[in-house]
Amino acid sequence: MDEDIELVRQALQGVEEGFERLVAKYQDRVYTLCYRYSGNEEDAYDLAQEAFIKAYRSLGTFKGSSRFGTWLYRVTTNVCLDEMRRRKRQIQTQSLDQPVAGIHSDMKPIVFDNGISIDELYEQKEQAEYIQFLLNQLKPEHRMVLLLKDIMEFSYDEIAQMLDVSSGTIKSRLSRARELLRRKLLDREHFP
Amino acid sequence: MGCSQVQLLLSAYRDKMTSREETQVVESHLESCVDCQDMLSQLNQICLVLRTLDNLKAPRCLWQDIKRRLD
Ligand SMILES: [Zn+2]
Repeated sequence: MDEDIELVRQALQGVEEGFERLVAKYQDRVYTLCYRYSGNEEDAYDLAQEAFIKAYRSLGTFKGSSRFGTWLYRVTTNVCLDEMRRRKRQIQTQSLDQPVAGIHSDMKPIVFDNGISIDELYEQKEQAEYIQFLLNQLKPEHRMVLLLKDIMEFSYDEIAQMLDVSSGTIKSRLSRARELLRRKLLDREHFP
Repeated sequence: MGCSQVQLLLSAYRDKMTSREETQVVESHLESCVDCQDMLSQLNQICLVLRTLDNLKAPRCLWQDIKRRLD
């Protein structure tokens, strides 16, 4: 934690290595958040880049009152949501007979850590891809709240702050999002 | 409180985000309602599955691409 603050200080003084080390430390988490949100590798890569660049440019606003990670994930969340809004507008202004290159469009394989058998790996991989496929079908606001609570494990208050809504809104949105995901899983008889 | 009202509270209940009164209502309902017990266990499974999704590895060229844009 103190290390992060030191690295931010270095980066602000123009020491590139400071920011490089912050990227190295957080890139997997940021990329994962972007992947879970966008549902594909190409968009996830663009979003992650954008998030770090935005973070770099607004490093001066990081006050050190929250953890750097929390601040960075908030920046990432906003980049994802902004991008989604931008695409929505773009899609609306596109002619209707054009195919839409949506952010949900394709599902690519997911990389897994080692340490488990091939069978288990395959099973887990299938399951993870399937969950991602279902996440992609949710509305962005529902998907985001699931990511922040159940994947990133932020508290209701932290998420409320990130999304600039009340904690009560998070409570009901999360309840709705989990219910929608539950129904989708039930449709496929995924539960034992 | 009926099942549908209890079910609206289950998500917050499993996160320990219900008020003391809500928690009491939910718990006394759960004692005698199999449907709501099932729903709670499904919710718990969903949260578990999401939590155990792996962290992915960012492509190694990420820093180089960021650096290029910052310079
Ligand atoms: Zn019931």
